[in-house]
Amino acid sequence: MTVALVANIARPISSAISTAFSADSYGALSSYGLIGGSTNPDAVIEALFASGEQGAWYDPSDLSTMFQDSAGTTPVTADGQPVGLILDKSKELALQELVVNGSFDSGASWTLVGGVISGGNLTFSASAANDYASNTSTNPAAGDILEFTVTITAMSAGSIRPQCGGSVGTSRTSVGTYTERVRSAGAGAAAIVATAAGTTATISEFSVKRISGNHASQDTAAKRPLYKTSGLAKYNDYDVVDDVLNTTFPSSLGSSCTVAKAVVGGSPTILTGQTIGTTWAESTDNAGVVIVNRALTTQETTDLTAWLTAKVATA
Amino acid sequence: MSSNFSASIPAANMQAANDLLNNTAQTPGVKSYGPGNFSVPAYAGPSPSVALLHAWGDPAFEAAVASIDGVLISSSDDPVDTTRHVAATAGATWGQDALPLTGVVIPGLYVDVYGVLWWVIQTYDTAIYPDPALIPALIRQAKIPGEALPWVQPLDQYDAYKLLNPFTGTGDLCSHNGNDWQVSQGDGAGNNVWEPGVFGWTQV
Repeated sequence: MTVALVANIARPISSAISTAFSADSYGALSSYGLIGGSTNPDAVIEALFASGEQGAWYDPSDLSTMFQDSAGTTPVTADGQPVGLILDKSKELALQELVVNGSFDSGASWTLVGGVISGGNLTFSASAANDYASNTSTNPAAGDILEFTVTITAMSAGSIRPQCGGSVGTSRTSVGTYTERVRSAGAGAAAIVATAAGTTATISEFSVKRISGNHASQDTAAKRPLYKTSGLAKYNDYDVVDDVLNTTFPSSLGSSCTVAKAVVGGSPTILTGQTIGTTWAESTDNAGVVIVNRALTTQETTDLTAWLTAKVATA
Repeated sequence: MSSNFSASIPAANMQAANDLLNNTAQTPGVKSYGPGNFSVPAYAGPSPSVALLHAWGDPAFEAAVASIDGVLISSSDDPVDTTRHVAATAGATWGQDALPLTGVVIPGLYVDVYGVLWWVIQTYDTAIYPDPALIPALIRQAKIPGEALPWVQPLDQYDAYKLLNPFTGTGDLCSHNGNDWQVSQGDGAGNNVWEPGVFGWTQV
């Protein structure tokens, strides 16, 4: 849906926005959006990445992308909470399934030590400790945010635990469907492990989804910025002592990057011709950051300026 | 705001404190707050002797920090003022608060026009002695953990290069004769006063 929006709608809207409402705030964007049949002010940013550009887009006003811990377990819900992870929206937060044949239709794609696949289930019967079922899944990269889902339909003894990318989920001891997020420590196949000797359990579904994007995170509690609100502005406040959110890109972004920030209490900044390698460290207060590995057109710059200005609007 | 504090700990104790906060021992039921919480250097001499942190929004973390022996804590709404205060309480100067190296300077931490940190030992006039590298009895270059600054001949254990820098967990770095070097050997106290390439340094 989002791809179609970007391809077919966003560009005409963004062009008209800057013509009719240059240096606008959300109010103007929304007004035009109503005329054009769309009220999505983020369309102008989505368009910057529509051709597969690398970079990142962080939006502290979108609390669905903000978490207090670096694994994405505890969401940011209110002013004054620390930020350990902000998801990158440039890849539309698309979920990529890493597990092959996670519904156990057959034994294909699975390596079993002590488990049996039959009738659409993975079963451990009085297993040895650390028996496992390992999948020929796609390996995640270090720092990827993974979403584990495991459905246990029967369990009479022991415990089972999902794992992937060198990171482990929570050991489960009862029937249910469990979803949790972890941050990948590196490469490593998806697997279900019977963590206790004597585990007897039936699993009907196992999924590991990677949330696409170059997410910014901080493992260390003292180095996490604070989520704050002021007027209409919602931003991340860095303490100028040790706070920093780190991003690792899959490859160097090159020397033609554009870096734009919604500066709290000031005008937006848009830096062009920036050289960015495989990492980015953010440590300045902002209500939005956009990094893209190319120069922008005049129209795109106008649209981006309006979006950034709206992010720091005050009541 | 629920929690907004700065804390200090002697550099000699920072690794143990960071291990505790990270639950490096993986003690069941003990929360990990991640690695390297104490990370900001403060100076009472040419080498950082105090480690600082600032954190906010996490009362459980503040309680965990406060429970560590040797930690000093200060709270206020301003992270910079609080950090500056907790460093001073520990008898040190936060690296960010170095004064410009100009005019008559008294003992303390300074920064020159190139961004290099210096520790003044005795009061002197920079107009009379403009090159600090030539007057080691009065001023010595301060070390920044993890940075390979130009090697300077140490005079004693106070400005010796360290086999184990508590801020980085590795040997001190320097640049010398066009290369970067890391301390690989020291004396019984982990100090190295030798020239890189002569003894106790590995090219990196």
